[in-house]
Amino acid sequence: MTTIIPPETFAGRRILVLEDERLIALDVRDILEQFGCTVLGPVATVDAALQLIEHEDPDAAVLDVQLNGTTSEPVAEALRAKERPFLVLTAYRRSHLSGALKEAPLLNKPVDERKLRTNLSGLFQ
Amino acid sequence: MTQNLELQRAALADFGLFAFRCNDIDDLLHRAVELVSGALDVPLVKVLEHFPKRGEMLLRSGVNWQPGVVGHETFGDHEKSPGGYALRSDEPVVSPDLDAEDRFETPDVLRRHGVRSMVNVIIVGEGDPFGVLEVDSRERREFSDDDVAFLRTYANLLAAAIERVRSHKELERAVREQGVLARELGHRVKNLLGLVRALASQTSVAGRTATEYRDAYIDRLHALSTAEGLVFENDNELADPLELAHEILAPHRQDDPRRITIEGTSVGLSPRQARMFGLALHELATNAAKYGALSVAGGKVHLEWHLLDARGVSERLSMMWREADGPEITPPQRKGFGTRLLEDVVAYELNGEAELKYEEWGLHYRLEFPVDLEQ
Repeated sequence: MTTIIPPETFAGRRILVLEDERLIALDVRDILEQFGCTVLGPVATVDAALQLIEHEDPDAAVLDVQLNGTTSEPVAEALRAKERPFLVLTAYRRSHLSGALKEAPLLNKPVDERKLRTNLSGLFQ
Repeated sequence: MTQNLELQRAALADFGLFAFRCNDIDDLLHRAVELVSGALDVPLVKVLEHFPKRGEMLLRSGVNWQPGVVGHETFGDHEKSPGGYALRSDEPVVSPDLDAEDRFETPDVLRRHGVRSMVNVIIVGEGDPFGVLEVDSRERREFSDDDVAFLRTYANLLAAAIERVRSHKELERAVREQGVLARELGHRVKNLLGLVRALASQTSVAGRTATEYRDAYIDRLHALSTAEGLVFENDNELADPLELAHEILAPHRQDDPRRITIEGTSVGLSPRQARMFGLALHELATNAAKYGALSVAGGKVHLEWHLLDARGVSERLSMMWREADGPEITPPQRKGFGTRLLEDVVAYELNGEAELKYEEWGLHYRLEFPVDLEQ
């Protein structure tokens, strides 16, 4: 059984993408744009993501965890503080995560479009 | 006399049991010196640990020493010190009267504690000896053969127990390290699968037959796995751009290597850098074979790179791809994935700069990025 997700769920939603692997970032961006979302970024660093959160106020976010030796935890905390939902898209397992990252829905790499769609729509219910 | 032997036998049994359960070297040594003190009725007992590189022996554990001695006092490991002398002896070294001792000198700390007689026994190790077990009496004492035999047995038991704790710790460390490695490997595999997926989705289907799409995708995948393979083969996880260039460009050079001349120095590229360097070269060569210098007879490519001098540890690698004697070219109408990869992805991933120039006489591509020569 596939749940039917009405297209308007995503129309015009502004999604921040934080991913340091550029090819994967472009892939995720394309998928989100196909859903009808507007992508903010993709950005590759915590600082760039925090800037976007402050100035662009995204509706939601898709976060990679490991960013060139640092983690996206501060971004997750900032989103939580602003009550903006987010998904974690990572090669790690949940047991490896900490803080606000641990509580978010987790998708494993490589990205699965159907799962991304279902989980993303879950953020807007 | 019989009572002494019984005490000693009990000490060996007690210590054997304790050592079997103990997983901490300091606890082990402490219990060892306590039991020896009781079993031989000597007030002062200590274990000296040998540090060959420092030429020193540290008083690692002991009973009844003044404050500040245990864990701090050190002795030279030369043969003029009691410990150093014992390290060089196969037999226990018995000194019934230190005033008459001429094999080594009595350290100050022993004089301060009023030591008159002593026995030193080596504590062997799997490689170098661990150190020396020493019992010190404040009265002049003739240690019996039984006492000495007891000490020797005791020191060997202690040596075995130390080795056991050490290998236990070593195993624990190895298991932890394995866990970390397995986790990192899992992470890397998933990330690579993410890249494989991204290459598939980014390779354009527009204007291509299924076969053309498949070939274009497989060629890119091949470039990625060539880079990954070079990194994997290298023990230090670095790839050499020279090797990488030769492998990636091999299909275009097999008829005539002079069609692409390669001139560059060997340097260590990280896995991430190697992937991008490989993918970029693949895109350039594929493009040249389709539209550029390699699409006509007589067309040539010169590939070169060198390190830019800079102060500090990090230097930059500057790479240039120059096509010549090819057909007249113009910039593409629409930016495909190849162009995006060369201009955007590669520069972004390498934290550097990339520039594509469509000169009338051929395509020029310049790439510059930081490399860590300390790796």
